[in-house]
Amino acid sequence: MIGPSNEATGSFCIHRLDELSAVRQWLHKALSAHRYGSHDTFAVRTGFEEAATNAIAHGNQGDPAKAATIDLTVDEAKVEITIQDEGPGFDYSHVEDPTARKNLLKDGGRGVMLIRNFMDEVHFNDTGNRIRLVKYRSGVPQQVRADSAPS
Amino acid sequence: MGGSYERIVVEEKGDVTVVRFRESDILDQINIQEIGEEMYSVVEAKPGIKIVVDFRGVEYLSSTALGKLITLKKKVEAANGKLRLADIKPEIMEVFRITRLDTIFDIKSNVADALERF
Repeated sequence: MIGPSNEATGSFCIHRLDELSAVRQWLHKALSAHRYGSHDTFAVRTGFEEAATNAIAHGNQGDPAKAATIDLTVDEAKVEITIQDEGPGFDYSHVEDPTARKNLLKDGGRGVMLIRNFMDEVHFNDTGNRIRLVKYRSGVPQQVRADSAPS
Repeated sequence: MGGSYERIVVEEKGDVTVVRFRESDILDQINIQEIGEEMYSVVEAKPGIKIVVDFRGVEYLSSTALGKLITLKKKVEAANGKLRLADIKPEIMEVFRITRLDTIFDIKSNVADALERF
């Protein structure tokens, strides 16, 4: 849905990883309609995929009886994605460094790092079962970002 | 060994096996699982394999897919083989650099370079 301010909003309730294709299609269409460049699109898609997979596979432990709600907003200045799962949460302040020598050959543990590197803002709720991601369009002046940030 | 896989295409170039992906987005968890299994079967069928994974056309790669590559590397090396990655687009190379996986994989610009002096 595109509102009067040329903002596209979408909301999804996902139970399984294979249901993410509908969200991917929505996001691809919204990013394209707002003419986000390839670098920003890559960053958004990477952040989204890692956060959504974490919510469904880890937060909800792959339980199809549990839902992950995904809310997306795409406008001219930024992309905002909020994902909430029904899991107990996790301690996001103590995520092991996947680049540490002892972790480098592990087959997991890189998702949060990639989210933090590719998104401009990453906010968790206290429990750690809700994440809000923000990616500003490249080249958006800092003042516009400050104006867009929630008070 | 031929290209009769659902998720990957396998070619022999001399004594080197080149594997590339049929899909451009390696994000879907189910696809990643199947891709992993197919790549492992290629490696397990040929002890001492020299293998190049060709990323031509790959647009996105999730951290789960990175995990499959790490497992692939371990399987190749356990069987005294060698693994190289080739033709990775710049944004995905950034993922390898951020995660420091560029320090553990042998990455070449293109398949031709990867096939040289294996």
